[in-house]
Amino acid sequence: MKMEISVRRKVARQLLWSAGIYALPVVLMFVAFAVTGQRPWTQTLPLSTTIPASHLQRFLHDYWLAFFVLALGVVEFACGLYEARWTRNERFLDSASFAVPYVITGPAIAYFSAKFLPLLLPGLHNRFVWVPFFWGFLIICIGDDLTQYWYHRLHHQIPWLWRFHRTHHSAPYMGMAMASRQNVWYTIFFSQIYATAALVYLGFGRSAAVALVIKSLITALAHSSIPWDKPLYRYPALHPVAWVLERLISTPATHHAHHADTSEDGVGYYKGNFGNMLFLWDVLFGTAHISRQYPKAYGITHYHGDPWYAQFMWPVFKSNIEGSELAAHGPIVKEDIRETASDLSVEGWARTEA
Amino acid sequence: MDWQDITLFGKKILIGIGLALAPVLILLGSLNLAQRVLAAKTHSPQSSQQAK
Repeated sequence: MKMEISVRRKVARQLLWSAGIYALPVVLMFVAFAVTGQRPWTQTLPLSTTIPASHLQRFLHDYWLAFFVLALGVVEFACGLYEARWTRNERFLDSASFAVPYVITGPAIAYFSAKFLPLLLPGLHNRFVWVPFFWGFLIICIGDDLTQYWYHRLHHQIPWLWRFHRTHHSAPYMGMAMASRQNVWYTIFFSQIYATAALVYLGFGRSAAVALVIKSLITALAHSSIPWDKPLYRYPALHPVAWVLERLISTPATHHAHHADTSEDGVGYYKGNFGNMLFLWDVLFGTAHISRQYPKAYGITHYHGDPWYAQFMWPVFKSNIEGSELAAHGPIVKEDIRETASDLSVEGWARTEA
Repeated sequence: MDWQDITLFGKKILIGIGLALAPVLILLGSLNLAQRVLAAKTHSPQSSQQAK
């Protein structure tokens, strides 16, 4: 199964535009320097602003997000938001996915930064540490999040990549556990974490630290079943705030729509809303759908609970569910039972439940 | 895992590398280029004055 030519052309064209978007903050920064006469690279700056911290402070600094996600997960569980759908199989999968970033990805990135970046980018360590915080923040936000947008979008639009991302969409519920629920290879080969590690190596460490905290919060809350954005839609006085926010960042409503089990009801939209921290990319590239409503059902309509280890490790382990996309000789992309074939050919979408 | 799966892995890693390299190279190139242009612009009036 191949990508349709129209989709391929659109993706290629928009990837070219993205090259310009990556360079945009740099161009704007130097225009600002040209206008103000600033030349920050001529000044000597301290390379480190590290404040001595206790073991407890360091522990909290390293694992605050894990605690935050766990705490909200407990609140969700206590409120019964997972209901009876969080089966033993789903619990195993969610727990393994939650642990991977701390046990495998973190050390892998540290090793990559320490051993490979000096070889890949020789003599460039802290080369751009002079970049003012604001501009560095903008460069990281765009560099990291636009890369993740494309990584995510391509896993939906290139048929043979879909099965590496299917695990993130198979759950019939939404919640904190969903933010990290991924096939292990999808997580390990996340492009944006390597790009951002390289930018940190080049001297954008302080900006990256702040940008990634904000990104983690937005992404976790967009997956959460706590609908923090609902008051913004309820009160007319807050509508202008809602209008800006829902176009700028991922909200629970727009991201839940991406996890809906159908795109046919005008609420769900698994064919778009790919943004993680910034929703702006979906607005710019025409993949946005804003309804200010929450889908009735989540997941994949033809999901029958593939074993957690198959979802977590596919293609190393295969599913024993006959006809599953993760089974040994299963389809690359299985048609959604609620969609029609004609709709698929018009849209040019590789996957119905993506 | 069969040969097809290994090919799939290879293709996935190549796409991942492409997506990670593109922003780094674009940012590195644009930062270097813009810095050189501005630095040259700053130095050129001084050097012309020195010549006089």
